[in-house]
Amino acid sequence: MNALPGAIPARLAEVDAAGWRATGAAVRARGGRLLSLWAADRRDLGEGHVAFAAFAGAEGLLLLRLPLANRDAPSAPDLSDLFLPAVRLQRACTDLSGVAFEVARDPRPWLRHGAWPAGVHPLRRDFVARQSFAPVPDDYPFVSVAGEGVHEIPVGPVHAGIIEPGHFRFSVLGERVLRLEERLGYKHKGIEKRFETLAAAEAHRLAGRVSGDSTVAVAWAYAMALEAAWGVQLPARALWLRALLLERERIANHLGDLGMLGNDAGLAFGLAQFGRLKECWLQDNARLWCHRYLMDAIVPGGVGVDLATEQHADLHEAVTELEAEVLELRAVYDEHAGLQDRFRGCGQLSPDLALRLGLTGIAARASGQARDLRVDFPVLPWDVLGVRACTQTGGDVAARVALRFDEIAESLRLLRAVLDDLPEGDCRVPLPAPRAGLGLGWVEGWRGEVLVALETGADCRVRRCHPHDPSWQNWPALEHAVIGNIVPDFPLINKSFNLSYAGVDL
Amino acid sequence: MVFLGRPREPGLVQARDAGPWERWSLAALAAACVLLGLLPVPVLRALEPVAALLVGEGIGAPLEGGWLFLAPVSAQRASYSPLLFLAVIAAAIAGAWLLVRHAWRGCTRLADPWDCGFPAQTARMQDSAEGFGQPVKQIFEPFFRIEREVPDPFDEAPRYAARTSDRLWHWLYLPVAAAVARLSSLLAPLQHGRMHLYLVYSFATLLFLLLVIRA
Amino acid sequence: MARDASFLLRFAPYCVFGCMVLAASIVPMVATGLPFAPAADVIALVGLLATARVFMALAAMDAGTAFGSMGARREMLVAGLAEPALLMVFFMPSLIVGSTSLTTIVETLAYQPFALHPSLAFAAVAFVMVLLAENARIPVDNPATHLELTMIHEAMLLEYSGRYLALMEWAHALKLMVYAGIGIALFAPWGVSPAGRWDLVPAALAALAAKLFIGGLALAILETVSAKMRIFRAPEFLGMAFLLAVLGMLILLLQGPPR
Repeated sequence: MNALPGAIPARLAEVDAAGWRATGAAVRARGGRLLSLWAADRRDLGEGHVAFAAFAGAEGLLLLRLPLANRDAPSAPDLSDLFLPAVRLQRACTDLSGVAFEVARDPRPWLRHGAWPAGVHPLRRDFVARQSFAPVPDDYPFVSVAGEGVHEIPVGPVHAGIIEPGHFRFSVLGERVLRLEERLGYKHKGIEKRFETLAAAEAHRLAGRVSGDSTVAVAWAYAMALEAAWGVQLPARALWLRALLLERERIANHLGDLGMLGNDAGLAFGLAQFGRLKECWLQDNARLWCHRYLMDAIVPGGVGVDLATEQHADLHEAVTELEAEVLELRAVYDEHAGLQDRFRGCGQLSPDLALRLGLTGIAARASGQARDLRVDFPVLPWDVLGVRACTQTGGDVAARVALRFDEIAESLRLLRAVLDDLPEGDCRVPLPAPRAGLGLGWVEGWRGEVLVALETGADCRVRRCHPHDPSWQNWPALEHAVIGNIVPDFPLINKSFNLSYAGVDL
Repeated sequence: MVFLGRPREPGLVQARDAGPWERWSLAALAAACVLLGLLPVPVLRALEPVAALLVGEGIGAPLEGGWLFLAPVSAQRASYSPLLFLAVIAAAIAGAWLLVRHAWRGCTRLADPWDCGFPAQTARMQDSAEGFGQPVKQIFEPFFRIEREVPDPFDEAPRYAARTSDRLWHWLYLPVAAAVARLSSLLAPLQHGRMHLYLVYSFATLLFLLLVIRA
Repeated sequence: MARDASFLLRFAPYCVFGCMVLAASIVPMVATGLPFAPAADVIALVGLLATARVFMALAAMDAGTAFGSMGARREMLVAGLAEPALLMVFFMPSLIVGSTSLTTIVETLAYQPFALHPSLAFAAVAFVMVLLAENARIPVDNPATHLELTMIHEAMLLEYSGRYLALMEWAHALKLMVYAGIGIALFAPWGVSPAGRWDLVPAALAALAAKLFIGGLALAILETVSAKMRIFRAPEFLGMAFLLAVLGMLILLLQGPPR
């Protein structure tokens, strides 16, 4: 077992099939979680396929590397009985890389919707990306609930609002939800394949577009992985500015979510007010970083745009203004009887279930899981800033709303601290000559922990890049949270999680 | 509840619609309802002698408004003219139709119903009768005794079952039935099904009655 | 138009529209003595609104989609609860005036010497609650929502487009107008011109416009400050309306016999 470079504590271990499961069981026994799971095709280097699994534990990241013997039909042991998030990760891995998982409980395809035939695996090195297939009829077998009078409501992938595509199959009896089954993958774009054609020093632009609302988090994780792989030391100013951007992104998304949550509960007033606040915030982004959502603000080696000293006062003022307004709106939300009636007890997820499902991010923290990378692994600049973890124990929509308010307050405090003590110096360092290497990036985005695993080739290109969105962990939780609720409460519950479709469909 | 008539379960493929004679009785009842609604006055007139026979006085006033208007007390207080009502609705419908015809000349494009972009729609996606009635049932749930078997999200073959019964049934009827059963089981030894025993019962009863009359 | 739908889907908009036109023509908003007013009293009016609703629900289920029947199911739930409350509300002015004919009620209430009817205040509150529920307004339904799963009224109209949708929307607007008209006629009938007095019609029109403006403003404020309630809170909401109406009626009975 050897340590991987980079600020985040991470280790790499190569195991055999028995060790794969044994390590998984050991991680689980010590309270660790499965973060992500993917495979890489190394047949062109004279090896076979390799399966990777990233676990998170108290000591940091553990990356398992399992070389698979069979070159054409590789298979790895199943982890889904140990870690529930493995179910969909393994299904996606089977679709994309053709790695079968032995005795997997759910053998249905996940990302393959009929755009390419079974037996074709787009992430293999010999797959030609510029080819098209005749569409295959898509007869996905949904789980059907037996029983008299049970009927189904199919919703999506095309929704009436401007939201991402996903299909939800409700098995209901009238208004009572008996089961919800999600079907995602409508936004599969082949991002991982596209990474392999890009130069490693430029692929941060693609990473920033994996999921538009988390552009800072994913781009930072990518940059972190690349800097770890190439051994780049960042100046403190760059890290502080990245923290500033990440907290700005968190605030913008939380503001938007709070407005939408009010709107979904029929309070258009909330949408109007929070929409106004978010818009002002985004306009500040556009003015200072040339992009409303801060795309391409983070580049490998630092940040793209430095912050001039004369802008500090402006930003300070904006933070103070926002703080006052959010406080006022929080009082409105808290005291609105109709709104609280909708939020309380709606979409409840108990702490036990949250632990069992291996949740992450807001969803976990709203169900009593104190889990925040900025607190648990305080690398620069978080150790200096001293992040306070926010946790709620209710596990319902009200808890997720309250958590967002808490996090906005905490992020505003952090912003103020960053502006007060921003170190002087360069905000960007030049990158060294490209070399082959492996690096991990792990960042607490607004939705949860984003992981990017990057393998660079000797030819300056990305060899394999796997961006992992926290929504992988949290999507199955929605299927549990909705049980016992009524059909019209689903949009509210869904919005309270606000998970990414693009981030998991890739 | 079947609207498009597609079977929801495989066993219903052979189901057929009711025959014309089976439907006729329902249709006749429905038609009678419509007729009663449209022409209340003649019906009331026909019933008047019965009312007069029973209470000694006719309905009188409602029928004075002529056959078109029904006014229970006086036209000032309340009046109702179903035929006029229907005529105005029909006129409004016809007017709307003509207006639309006049204002809009084009043909209606037929398309598949909205499926949210998921074309594989099945008969399971229509409301079942249980589903349609569920909200009302949920409101009046305190009055029912419902035993449910609700599936868990982890189930691989989930199933739902519910048994609904009347609370009153458990509180009132079942105790009464149990009491009756107990009582009858106490009396059961009297019945042996042998003829001479019954003759003895009759004899004893007769003797008892004679004694009573004597006393 | 949905391909597998029957004639019901096409017929329903005309029928709903026709019902609403008739309803509008028997509510004395500007003047009493309307030509069709003797044809129906308030009870028939409730029946008329119910007829429109039944056709709407049938048409919604006709296309056979999950959303249509979902909307119909919820509409029937709300309507079944709103109707008794509405009838109760109507009984109160009828008891005061001694007539269920809208024209008579308006004439009596508008031209009688000023009298306080506390029971009418209860009825007015109950009526506003029923109005919100029946016209698919917040807090019972959200007319502006795009979320299919939460819709009631809009879910029933999902299959409509073009002229049919226009008719349905027109009928819906008429329904709100009829309700506003009933509310004005029952609880604020001042300024309505009596039968045959054409000279008073402009003043009555102005009064109506002012009353509608105030009512619209109140509705907008009410909708802005309240959130949509869970659908199974609607029974409590409408139950409260019913209770208020009954309470008003009790007060009326305690006050003494109607004049």
